[in-house]
Amino acid sequence: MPTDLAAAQRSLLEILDGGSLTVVETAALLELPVSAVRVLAAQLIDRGLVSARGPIPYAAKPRPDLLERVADGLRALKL
Amino acid sequence: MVSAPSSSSAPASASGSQGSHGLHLPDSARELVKILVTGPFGVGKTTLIDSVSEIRPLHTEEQLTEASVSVDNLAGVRDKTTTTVAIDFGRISLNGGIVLYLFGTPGQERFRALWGDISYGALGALVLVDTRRIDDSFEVLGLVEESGLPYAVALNTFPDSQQYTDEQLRTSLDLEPDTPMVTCDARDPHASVDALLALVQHLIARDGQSPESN
Ligand SMILES: Nc1nc2c(ncn2[C@@H]2O[C@H](COP(=O)(O)OP(=O)(O)OP(=O)(O)O)[C@@H](O)[C@H]2O)c(=O)[nH]1
Ligand SMILES: [Mg+2]
Repeated sequence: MPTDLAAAQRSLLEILDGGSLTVVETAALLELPVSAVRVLAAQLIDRGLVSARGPIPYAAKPRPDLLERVADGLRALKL
Repeated sequence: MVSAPSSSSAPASASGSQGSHGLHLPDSARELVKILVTGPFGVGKTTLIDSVSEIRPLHTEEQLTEASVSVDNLAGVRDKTTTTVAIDFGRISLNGGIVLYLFGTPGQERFRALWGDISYGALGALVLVDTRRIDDSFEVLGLVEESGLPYAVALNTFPDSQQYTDEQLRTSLDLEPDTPMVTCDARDPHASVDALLALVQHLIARDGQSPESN
């Protein structure tokens, strides 16, 4: 990890720990506003330390089978 | 979320090896779906999310800044006020790369400005109702209905809850005949999953009735 990072940038990198998180989750974990996380992430993206995966959009108008798969997935949890 | 909807769901990932603790989105995540868990103060939203979430439920507080700008107030932002809205997040990874997010938020009139952001992209809402104080639910039911979000009602029963018939409850909550209403102990993961299922089955049934919606 580069040594010249701000503390908040460090905590963001640490929490990502090589994995992926949504911005809202990151914000909650770091106890920072979503807007702040977005700024931090942008700085780190500029330096090539973090990548923004193309947004996986929330499926607001779900394909017909998606709801069925959500229901199946929920049922499977109860087994 | 309070954030711009398009980017609030954009996962940020650090380059390098894949993190190992359960916190991170599974590599298999392909589709994110979101369900709102709402209801009046102290009804059991956090408890329900806690009982089904695979991650320690996250809690965030967003500052809502409202600048009231009116034509006869040239100072513009003089009446700026800030409110804090608490939002809980839970996450459940389902088979087939679906990740279900639960957003817990109080449906209060004073958060109306945020409601659109929070409900953006949600499949539907699970509205928790404490039968000891039914009146407290009217506000949130009003907001949900206004936003056009399909919903199901989960009745949280507490030891000192009075017994009502379903009909009495439906009448006092003014529910449509096809709105699901289930009883749910939010502390019980099974019951909580069942409540979510009731909502999803309702969404499927609605879909079947309005093919043009897809
Ligand atoms: N008996 C019973 N108690 C419950 C149930 N759900 C929640 N509780 C209890 O009710 C209290 C409030 O629950 P919370 O989950 O904090 O409620 P909330 O809706 O998140 O409250 P706010 O975030 O303050 O609006 C807690 O002490 C829970 O243990 C339930 O289904 N049955
Ligand atoms: Mg709560």
